[in-house]
Amino acid sequence: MKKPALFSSEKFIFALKCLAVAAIMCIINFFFKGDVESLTRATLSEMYTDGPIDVLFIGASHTYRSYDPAAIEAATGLNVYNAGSALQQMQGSYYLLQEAAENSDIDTVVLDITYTMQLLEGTGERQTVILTDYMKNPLRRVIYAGSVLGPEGITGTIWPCLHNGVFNQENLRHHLTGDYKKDYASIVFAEEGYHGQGYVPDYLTVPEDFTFTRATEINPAHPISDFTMKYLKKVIAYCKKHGLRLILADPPMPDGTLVTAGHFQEYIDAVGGIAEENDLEYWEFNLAKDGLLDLDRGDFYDETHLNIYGAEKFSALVSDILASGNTDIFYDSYAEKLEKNPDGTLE
Amino acid sequence: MELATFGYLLFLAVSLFLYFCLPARFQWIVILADNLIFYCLNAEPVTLLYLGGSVLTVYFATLFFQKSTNPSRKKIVLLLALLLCAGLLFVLKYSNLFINTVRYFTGETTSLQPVSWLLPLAISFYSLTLISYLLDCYWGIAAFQSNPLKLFAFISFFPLMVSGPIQRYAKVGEEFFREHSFDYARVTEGMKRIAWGMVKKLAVSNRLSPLVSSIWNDPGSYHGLMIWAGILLYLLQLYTDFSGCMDIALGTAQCFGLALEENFEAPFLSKTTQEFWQRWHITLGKWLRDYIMNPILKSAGMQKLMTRCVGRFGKKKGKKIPLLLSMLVLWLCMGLWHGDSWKYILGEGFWFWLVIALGQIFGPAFQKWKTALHIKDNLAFRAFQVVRTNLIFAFGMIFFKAASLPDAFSRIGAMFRLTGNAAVSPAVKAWTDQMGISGLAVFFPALLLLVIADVLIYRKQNPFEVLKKLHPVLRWCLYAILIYFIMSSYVIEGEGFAYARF
Repeated sequence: MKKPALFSSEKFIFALKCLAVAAIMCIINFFFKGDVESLTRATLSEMYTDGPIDVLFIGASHTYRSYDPAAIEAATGLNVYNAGSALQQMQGSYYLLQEAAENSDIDTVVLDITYTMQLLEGTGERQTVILTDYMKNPLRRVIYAGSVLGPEGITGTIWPCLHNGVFNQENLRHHLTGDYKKDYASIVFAEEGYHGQGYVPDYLTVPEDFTFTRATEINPAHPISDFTMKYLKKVIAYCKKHGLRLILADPPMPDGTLVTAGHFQEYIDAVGGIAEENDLEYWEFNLAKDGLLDLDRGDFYDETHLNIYGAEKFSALVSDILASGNTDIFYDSYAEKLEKNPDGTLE
Repeated sequence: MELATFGYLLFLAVSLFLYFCLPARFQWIVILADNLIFYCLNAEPVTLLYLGGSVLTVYFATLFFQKSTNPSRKKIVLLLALLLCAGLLFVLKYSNLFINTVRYFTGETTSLQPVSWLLPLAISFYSLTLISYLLDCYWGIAAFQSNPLKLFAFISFFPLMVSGPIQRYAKVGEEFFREHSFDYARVTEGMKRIAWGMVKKLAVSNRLSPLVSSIWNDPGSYHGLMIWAGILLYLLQLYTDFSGCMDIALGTAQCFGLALEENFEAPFLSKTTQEFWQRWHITLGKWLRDYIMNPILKSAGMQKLMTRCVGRFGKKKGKKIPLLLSMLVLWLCMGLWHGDSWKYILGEGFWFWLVIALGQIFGPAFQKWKTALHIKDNLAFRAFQVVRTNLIFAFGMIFFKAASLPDAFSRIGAMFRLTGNAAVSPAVKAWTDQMGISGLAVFFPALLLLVIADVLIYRKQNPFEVLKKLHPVLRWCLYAILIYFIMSSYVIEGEGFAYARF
């Protein structure tokens, strides 16, 4: 019997060999991808496998260090998940939100609007690949990584070891012995802990002589980058289309940092304008009133992040708002907050 | 988008898919589109204006050669076109050489300040390709390309827009625009060559880079011999970097059905400096020979000089003087091509001319001594010649690597210092610690494969043909190992291709 033309063609043999090469690469990738200790591997896996999510907190490290889902769940009875990831920018939030929303019937999205992450024109490689490596939807992975890193991002989604590979015996042992699947113990640094549901509090407190200085300077004429605006609009549109309640939220930062960054009021006004324009809630916790959120130096572990003590106070306040719906807890301006509820970090 | 990346391979895969799936008449358009995308991904798109302007200038000049029958007008147009192409290259690349020289001699009292132009991609490479096409058309060697877009597609062929090699339209132009159907053997060999280039760059050059840097950055503390060792390691790094880039470029061209001219042929096995340069950056050497040295040698002035010299010194010696003078121009151009600094002119140009000229002048005398001392052409003498040639080359490359001319001289001084740390062991230990066993298990086998491949090339054998003769299982095991070498070296932060800034 004559063979079909396809099977005898050189192109078919060539395609087979290309697939063989790709398969060899997949095997190498399987054994040497260096994400045994990846935090997002753990948190995204948990996000996909744990039960339903009513409230999703999404954003950068300010999110995963500030919102304690267990405390909020206990206080409100809602199912909460903290989908924060290191250096997450608005583009990452946009794609991660879609992943979460496809996986669970989310009601409320609390989007991190911390100023430090909203000034950049573009997304970096690291914050992209730590998400795309573990996103479920392959097309979304390709689109997100490809838009940030070009063709290199696309190949990186197929073989993550091209950017995170660790080619040593120890990593090989992890993958061969099955430790890879069960060993989440060391996914965080020594001074922090993984409390589940994406929450990673830090146990340290800033030293006595620590001086709070600006992390990034705010440009009063352009407090939010065009890049952030582009993806913020997409997030807003996505939430509207899918009937999700979107809240723009800014976890508290030390006054020392915000004052030296300068023009924080302009930043608040810019975000407030976006919220008003799109009929969104805006929770600016840096305006929280005296008696509702009383932070001091001992509640921060560096110039921008809360530590576990600060996060506990903050999560209690977030729980109250979510449970009561009362958002009349903010001063009208940052100057007023500085005057009436300073946190003692301003020297 | 660097050539030695998987992103580039993906780009290439999509390009090849379109190239072979679309009707053959669109193949050159696929390449043109690829070229534009590649250019814009690697350089400021606005600098395409330089490239486009040069191509259009040459196109209209060659069109004029076709139409005009007036030789003097043709000559004027040729000179104008040459002036524009070479002038653009000189202004963009050598302004600072001129400015810095003036500042040096005027004690920096001049108002002239160094400039930082927005450079087009691979200007030193595409300018020479364009000039060769222009001159070949003028001399009637190359066929006129009537479609300026096709000429643009040829000149800006994307794999060559990093570090060449410099191609000539007269040799490959016709082949470039011929219809190419999918050829299994050719495409697979092209792919293998790309993979081999990636092994050279990633598994050898990039892995060697920290060791070279640690010795190079601390010349004050090492014994002269260790500085020599450092520069020899640098040669290995540079060779695997540059020839790796060439393998990727030529492998890519091969996938598109093009057999372009080679740029390296196992140079480190050369017995003389002259032979070395016939095996190192071959296309540049040939270009300078054909478009600089030979025209000068054939010029009326040089012919007159030759007649005079023959009359005065005899036929043999008299012919050598114009030859050596033409060679001097060639080598100074060679140095100048490498960059906007006198260190290149001296180290990459004059030094090698001096060695070759002395070799030519004293060659017969050396031969006599060799006979008188009963030195035979055995393996030991051969090894001596190879080592001598490589040391001479290494000496010249100090100027290439040094930050400036004074820096090069201070390093040369250090090379002959008999004090200092006579062991590179701290640097080597730091390097091996950094690499780990798994890294060394990649570096040394890759190096061994490189030596085997170069010995085969020196013996005029194609390593890929030898590979084909292996048992398929063994061959695929080797492929898997090479893929492992590439992937495991991919995460190491390396430098960009050394010649990509040219």
